[in-house]
Amino acid sequence: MTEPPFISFKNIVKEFPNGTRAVDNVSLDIGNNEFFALLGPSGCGKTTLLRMLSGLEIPTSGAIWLGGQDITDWPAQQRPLNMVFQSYAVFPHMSVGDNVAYGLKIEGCPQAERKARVEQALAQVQLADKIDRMPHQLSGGQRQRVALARALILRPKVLLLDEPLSALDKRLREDMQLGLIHLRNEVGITFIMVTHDQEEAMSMASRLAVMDKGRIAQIGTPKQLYEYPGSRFVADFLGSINFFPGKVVSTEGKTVTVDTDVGRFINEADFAATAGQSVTVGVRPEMLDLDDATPDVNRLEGTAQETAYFGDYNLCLVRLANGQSIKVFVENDSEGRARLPQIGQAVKISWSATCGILLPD
Amino acid sequence: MSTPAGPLDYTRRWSLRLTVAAALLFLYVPLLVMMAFSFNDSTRIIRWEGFSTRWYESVWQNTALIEAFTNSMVIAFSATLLATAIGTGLAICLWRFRFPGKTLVEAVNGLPIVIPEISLGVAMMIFFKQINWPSDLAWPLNLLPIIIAHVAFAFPFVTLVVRARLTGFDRSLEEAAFDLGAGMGLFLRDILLPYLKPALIAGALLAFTLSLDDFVITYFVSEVGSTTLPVKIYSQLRFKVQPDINAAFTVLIVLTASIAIAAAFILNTMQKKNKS
Repeated sequence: MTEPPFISFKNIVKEFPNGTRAVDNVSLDIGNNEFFALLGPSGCGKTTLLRMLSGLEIPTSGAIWLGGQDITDWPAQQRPLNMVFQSYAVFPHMSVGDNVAYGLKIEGCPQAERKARVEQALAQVQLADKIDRMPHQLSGGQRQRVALARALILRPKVLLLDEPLSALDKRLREDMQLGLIHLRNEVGITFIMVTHDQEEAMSMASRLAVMDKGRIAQIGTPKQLYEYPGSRFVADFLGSINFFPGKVVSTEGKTVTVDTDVGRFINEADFAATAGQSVTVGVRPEMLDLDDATPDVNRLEGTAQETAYFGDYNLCLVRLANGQSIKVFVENDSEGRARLPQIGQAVKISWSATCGILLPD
Repeated sequence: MSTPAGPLDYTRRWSLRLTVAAALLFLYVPLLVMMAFSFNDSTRIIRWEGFSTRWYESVWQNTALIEAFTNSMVIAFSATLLATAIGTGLAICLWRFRFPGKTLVEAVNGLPIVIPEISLGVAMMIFFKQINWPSDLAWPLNLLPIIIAHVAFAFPFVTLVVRARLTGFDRSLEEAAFDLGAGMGLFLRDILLPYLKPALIAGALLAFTLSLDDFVITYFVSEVGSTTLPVKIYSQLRFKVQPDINAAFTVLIVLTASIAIAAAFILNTMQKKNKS
């Protein structure tokens, strides 16, 4: 056997006094030095799971292990992990320096060392010149970096981030995504992030767990989850996707032929499909081509219903003969511009057998 | 010329200026008249006969009045301290913890604010009689019944003010303090009390002024030797209207106004310090 996982949730259940089961029998291992994301819609239990790791909630049953120790009953104060709160929770009556020094002060760290470490922690988040400012004089992004420095200064084994970017505007969010990845590489500890934003989770995390209704739907790398989702929920939650429910007609190795309402499709399956089985064919909008040139498999015809311009790409809504509307992304390059249909125009859509996702029902 | 008044420039409308002026006049003219007459060189209270400070000297020599004033001050300071501590503690408990009977405690807490003072006064009097509270204690222990009575009616006001401030408190500040290693005690000292400071000062000021000028409740509880200034002045007025009362009240008003202004000043500089 290899050594036990760094962080381990074992059959965690959390029931609140009002009877809701926020976390329903979750088991999850997280390795050392991972950037792990818990992703899911609001109310899926991801924040509750994070708070149980931090010690701010106590699980109803189950155990939490960290670095080979059972920490289930440890109070939040003793756990070697620190949290960056969604609202940042920067103490409003303390200066930036005092905020960052607070944890060290409680530890009883001598003043000279404290001062040096505060300066170092603030330099790490590019706030060295703001040490004497009060929180209300800072922008949202700066306040968040104060919260980061305040947590990292205690040299935790794990940094917990609760929706770290949700309160920032789009531009700042992109900067901060790269900033957090850089920071994690620099300090070399485990980061665990909770988010409802799939782009955020995929771009930052090395591995992520998608949660739904208190359970884990799937765990994997962003690429695994996006390209090989195990369920309709995961496929739908990560990115956009078009679904065509149908039945397996025949299988030949990995290649599966499926009959659906809108036609016969050929797809590769990563599970053993049997003839007659109910399945769903999923195709992401960027995999669809508005082109006649592709091979004669997986074709659809319809009329362009609406288009929306996003700058780098166009979203085209195509209405099929059975009334279903599907999404097609058309890149805004020279070819894409020429292909973009007018509203009401008849269009032909195709995709190759390796680009679709076959999901068992 | 100045720019024309905008639709929301209320302070530049004559109708509003007049309203404000009238309100201020109603409030302060009687006080100003009383203050002016405290310098009146006459034994009659309503006729002006020239400037003099003789009534101030007479107040200064009126040992009964000075004694009552000292009592009032001791009572007001002790009652303020206790009421602020109890009121704040109760507010924090009601905000922070769930316990059986919490709703009842919350409802009962508001009662002293709405109960007629006279009922509270009579109740206090009967209570101290019933438990045979010793009436021959030496000063300042003989002030205890009044202090207890004042604490009883003042702390709900403190609770009210502190609770209002607590509703705006971000609970994640508490969790952040715990996450950084603080226990309940450090959290209260380092995070919650500094946050509550404006409410504590406001609540304490409220308790202080309530205690200082309370007449009805004190009247029922006080005994010979433990009278407060308002009760003493009332008993003196029953026999003879003397101009030195004007002087006494002027001193009292200047004193309380100074405390209020000082408190406002301290709060203001504290806020400025926080901002700069």
